[in-house]
Amino acid sequence: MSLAEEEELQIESKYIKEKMIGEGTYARVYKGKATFSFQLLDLGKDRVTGRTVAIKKIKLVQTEIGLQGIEISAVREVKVLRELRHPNIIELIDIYSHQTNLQLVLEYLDSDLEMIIKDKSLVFILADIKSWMLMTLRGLYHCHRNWILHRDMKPNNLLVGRDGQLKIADFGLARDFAEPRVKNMSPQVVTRWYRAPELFFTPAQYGYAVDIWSVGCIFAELMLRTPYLPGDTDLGQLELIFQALGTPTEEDWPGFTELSKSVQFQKYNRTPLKTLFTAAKNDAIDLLEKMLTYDPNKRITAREALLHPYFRNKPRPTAPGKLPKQEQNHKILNEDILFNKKSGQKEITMYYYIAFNFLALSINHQLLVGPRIITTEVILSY
Amino acid sequence: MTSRLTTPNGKGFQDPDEECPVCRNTRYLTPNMRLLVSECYHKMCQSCIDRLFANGATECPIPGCKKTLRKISFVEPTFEDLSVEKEVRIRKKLAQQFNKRREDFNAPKEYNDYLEMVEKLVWNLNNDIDLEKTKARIESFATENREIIARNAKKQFEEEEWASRVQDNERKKKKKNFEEYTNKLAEEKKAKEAHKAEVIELLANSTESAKSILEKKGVARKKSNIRIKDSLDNDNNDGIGELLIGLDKVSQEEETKEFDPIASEYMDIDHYTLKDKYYDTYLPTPSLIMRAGGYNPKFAYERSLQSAFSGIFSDKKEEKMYS
Repeated sequence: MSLAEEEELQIESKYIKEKMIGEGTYARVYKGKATFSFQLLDLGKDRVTGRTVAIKKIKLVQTEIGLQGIEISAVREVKVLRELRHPNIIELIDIYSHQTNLQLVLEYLDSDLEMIIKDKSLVFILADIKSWMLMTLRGLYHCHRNWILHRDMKPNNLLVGRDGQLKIADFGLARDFAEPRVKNMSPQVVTRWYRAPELFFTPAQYGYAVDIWSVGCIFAELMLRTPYLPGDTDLGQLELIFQALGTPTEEDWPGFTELSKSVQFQKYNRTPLKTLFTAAKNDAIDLLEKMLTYDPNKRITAREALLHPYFRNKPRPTAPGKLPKQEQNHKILNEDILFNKKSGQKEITMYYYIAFNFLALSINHQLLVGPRIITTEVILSY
Repeated sequence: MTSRLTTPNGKGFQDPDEECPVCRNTRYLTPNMRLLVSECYHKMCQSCIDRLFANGATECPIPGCKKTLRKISFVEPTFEDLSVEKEVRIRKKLAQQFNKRREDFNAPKEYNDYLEMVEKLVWNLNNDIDLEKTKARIESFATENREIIARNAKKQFEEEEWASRVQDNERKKKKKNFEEYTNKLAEEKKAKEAHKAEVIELLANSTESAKSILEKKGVARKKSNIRIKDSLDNDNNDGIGELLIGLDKVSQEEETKEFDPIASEYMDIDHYTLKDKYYDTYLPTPSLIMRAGGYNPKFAYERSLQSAFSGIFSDKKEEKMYS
């Protein structure tokens, strides 16, 4: 065994996979635990502390020379995350290879902003929205000051931990920008609902502004509790943006007439944002307007956004620990209802759920009820 | 912000799982779907209605319902739950005729019986029990009590008029009180400034010792302050507090100034100034269309400068981070 292989094995032995929690196009994600062994004097005993981690096992893809390559997005993710360390960006803890596999060890967070927005049992106050926006922008500013574009900002990619900290994740589309040489960039980035208008005109070059637009859409979504601009086709998305914010004129966006000369757009008038966001204060509306500016050169930067009066004015952003979050049991219930919707077994699941809760309360530390495991915290405290 | 759930087109919150029972299309797939409701209280979407009733009146497409419908008989429902929608409509219709009041009866028992009867009618109509009989009863009631119905309708109209006038007056009064209060606050501020100017003037020109001047003036001011406060308390004790939220804005802004929104652990790279223009033969001069797409060579220049300057001027803060 070579030295390098031995080293890899040593890293690998630090982590235990527990169960698979998801599968994407280029990776399988497992929930696992980190074990740190250190010796206690001469007792020679190993201690296990269980930091929960997510282990991303990168799948191999077919190339000309066989099943050998790894997806470009995996390369991007590793490349970018190794550079970034910030409280609001997901932490890449370790990387190791096992035979032909590449495995990334990432922080584990069990909720995301999309789930929180969709959970109608949670009530947001203005300060909560401010807090999430603040954490998102802090993370994004850290990316931008290191000249990295995220290019897939959406609530689904903003993970939220048990402690309420929000972390930007999924850097599979990220790349650096403002390189001192002109290299073409792909306009096919960002999930459609959060895609900036300039990207629909297939520019060869673009900048920080695409991420800011997405954050603006997320801001609006937090206030509305429903996606702000849910277009069903690329052209429909542009149409929807223009309907909401008015068709841009040459004055709003210099160069727009030349960009859009192949397509004729209907002229819509701009309705003031205040009419839709009735409960928002003026400072919030002003920030949203600056984020959803048509001209990418005039769109607010992450730093300017952080320095906007919105964050300084009252109410102060809620402390992360006090933000509304989903109950763990509640989450399990939701998943089960979704799962059983097709077979029409809602009532039965409800019954299970009640029984589960009751047992969890009364026996307190007994572990299994049916197929479900009580949360890791309980196991740890036992 | 949280209480009003709206979509970009301004309609209320809509359930993505809602589906048209005829074509099984869901709101998730077509966000603009309009579900209308028929006379027989069956929901269907606009496109189904257009399709089914293109050639005039036809039977309701819902199995078991034989009612003949026309396109025009579909209306937008107010409530999502159709049983609620139906009951509300029935009650609204009945209330026009069954508008007798307590004073139209001699004894409480008679009034209670009357209310009981109305409830029974609503129940029957709502659940399709003895429809013919019920309708006949309603008609006979209407003809018997024509005079009372007309009189009560008139009364109700007058009462509504009165209530709206009272509300209007109250609003005006509140507004007036609020204006008075803001005026008073402005006056107080003015008085404070005038007093300050006076003290400075005295300190500058008088031969008296500074301490004695301040003592005299300080006491005088405190007194006047209390007086103004008292008058405010006496004048405005009827719900003005809630109107004053806007007034505190300025002071709040000052309070939160020490808040650091960026809170970065990293040091900013500075010691350089970014110029608007550089002599550059390497990067292309951006055309209008490149700029419109978001390209700006400024960022490339800044990035180059930062890479050149990062690490030159080491800082303790940074050293700690990397050690």
